[in-house]
Amino acid sequence: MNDKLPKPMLDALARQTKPAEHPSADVLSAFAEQGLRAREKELVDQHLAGCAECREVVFLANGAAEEAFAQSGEFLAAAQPGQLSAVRGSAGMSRAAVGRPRKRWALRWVWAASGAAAVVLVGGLFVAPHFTARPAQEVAMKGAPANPSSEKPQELDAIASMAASPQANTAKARPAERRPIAPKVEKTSPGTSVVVASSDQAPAPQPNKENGAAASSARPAESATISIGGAMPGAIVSSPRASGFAPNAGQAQQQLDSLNVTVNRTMAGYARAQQSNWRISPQGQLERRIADGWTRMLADQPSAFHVVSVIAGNVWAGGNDGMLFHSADNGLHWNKVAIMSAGANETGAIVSIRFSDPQHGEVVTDGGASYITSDSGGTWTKQ
Amino acid sequence: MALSSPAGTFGEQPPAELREFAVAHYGASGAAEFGLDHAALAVLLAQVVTQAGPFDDVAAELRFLASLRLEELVLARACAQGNERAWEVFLNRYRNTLYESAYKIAPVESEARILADSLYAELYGVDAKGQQRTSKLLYYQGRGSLQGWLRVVVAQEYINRYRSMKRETSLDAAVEDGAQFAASEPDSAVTDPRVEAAASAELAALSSDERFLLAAYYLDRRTLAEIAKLQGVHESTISRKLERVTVAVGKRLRKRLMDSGMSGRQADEAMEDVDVRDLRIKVRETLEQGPPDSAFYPKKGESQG
Repeated sequence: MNDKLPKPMLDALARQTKPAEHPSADVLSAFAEQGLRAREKELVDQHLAGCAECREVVFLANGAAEEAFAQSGEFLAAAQPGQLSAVRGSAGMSRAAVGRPRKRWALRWVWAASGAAAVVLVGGLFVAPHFTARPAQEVAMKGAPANPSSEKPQELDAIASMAASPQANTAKARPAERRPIAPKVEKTSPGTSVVVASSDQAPAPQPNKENGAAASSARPAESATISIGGAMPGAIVSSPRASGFAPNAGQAQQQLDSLNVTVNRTMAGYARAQQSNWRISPQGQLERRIADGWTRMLADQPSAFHVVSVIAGNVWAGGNDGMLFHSADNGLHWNKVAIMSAGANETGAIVSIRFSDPQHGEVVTDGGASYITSDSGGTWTKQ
Repeated sequence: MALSSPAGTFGEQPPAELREFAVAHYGASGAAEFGLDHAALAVLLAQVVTQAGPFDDVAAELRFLASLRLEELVLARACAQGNERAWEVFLNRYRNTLYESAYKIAPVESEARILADSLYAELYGVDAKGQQRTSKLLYYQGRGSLQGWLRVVVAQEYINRYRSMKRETSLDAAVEDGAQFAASEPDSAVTDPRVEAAASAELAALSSDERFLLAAYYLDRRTLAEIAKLQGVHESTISRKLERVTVAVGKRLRKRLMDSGMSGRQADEAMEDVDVRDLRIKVRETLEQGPPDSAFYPKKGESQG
């Protein structure tokens, strides 16, 4: 905004008489959720224009809601199937994270960082061919590297192949003409699948012909569930790197994943929550979606669950009395995990579980205690 | 279970349309889980309608009822009545919201904890001495989500506390904040009455949402993103609207000033008068730039000796 409001208008705005009565919290929350009738909204607008105090309230409350949504990563306590309040991402933040309000520019930094990364990587598309002598076509058909440690050259190769690929260039130059194509999936290393496709790709994965094995799906089976930390499988299709603007290999992909993770959460949070296969019922029961119905899991546990977190087939569920369960096979078998602190079991209610990958994660209790693990929950260290 | 409003028990028989609505939505409301029958639900709805009304006709009233968060409203009222089952559900679903909203809103963790604890006690309906009193949940009317209502209540409580603590701010802190450089009130003594009248008239001619937009952006210095989020529109929409309103206000104000007898130059000068808020920012920016390169401050790398 380059235009400036004339100073007399600013004075007039500041001079407005402060209303004697204020809208109730009920009305203000409905205003923030666009739930008021037109006449009521006008009245609230009128009040807010002259009441700095109520403006502060609605912006503060809305800011907290915004961050909760942006951090959406856990699926908590669904009231009823399909109810909006099922999205409880705010609990996904650690105590340290929620202890200080996140600055509003934080999200903008994420966008800026993502944009900067995209610029760098797109730049790499054009620069990389000058540094790689091998023909792009040869590189594009390459399977797993002979030397697993030589990931960096392969990354440049992948960039070169993107830059030299007529298909990729066409897709970039004429985005309107893109048509659905099956994703090409390269297996670069165990557990890492690379998607080379446009954003409107067909969902069916294409087998990797060179190694003869079925390649990993572009959308892993877990994509419908909520994953904490790490890359968002469900967001791969719509992320910049899947739309032909960025390379699709190794470290660069991981970097972009980490940069985009918050953005992806923001954009895909609610949609993913709606598709989640796991939830905590209003009664504090752990439930799993099976064939369009919800089935209670760990029904023999007397304590209420508060949070469930899913990443790469690993399901973590926490609740009252330090109760923490882990399943490494998507809920088929469960192990009770004890969190020890100074020789005694943690007894606080677990309110947050965040895993960046199946090994590394953090749980937070309602008492503010935070524990991290780097061995899939084998040992925990209090922070 | 008898329901009561903050003012007392709702004694009158609810109208027929409310009773029918209560019967039709009884299952979805979850009232049965907390021991509320159809009549109690109808009484609850009548209370909410009475507070939100009056309505033009029955159809408008029914539309309003349909827009309510009925299940959350029933839960809140059941909690306010001390229903244990309702509290169990409430804690499972909203305890984290309450505490995490406090942690996001209050800048200091200990303050946030105190804020959330005291609010929790108020929601439960007891004061600091443990004596029973009216639960704050009685004031939830189901207009917005219970989660959103909790956030607003936390924000209100925080601002109340912040205001009371602000009076105790030390002089040093005030200087650090640049408060000493700000003029608290516009200096009306030197303002041409024609300017003030024209600005007031122009402000009155604006719509309520335009005034809110200008106040949020120019007075509170909220970002476009914050305003857009609150209004439920895209940031660019707010940007365009703000630019349009600002330009239009400037033109119309200039015309009003000229209509009041000012020359074009006088009108321009009156509109470009220096704003004390800008002065404050400039002073703060200058201070934040650090010490100047003078003989009193050795440059980096220079020997202290």
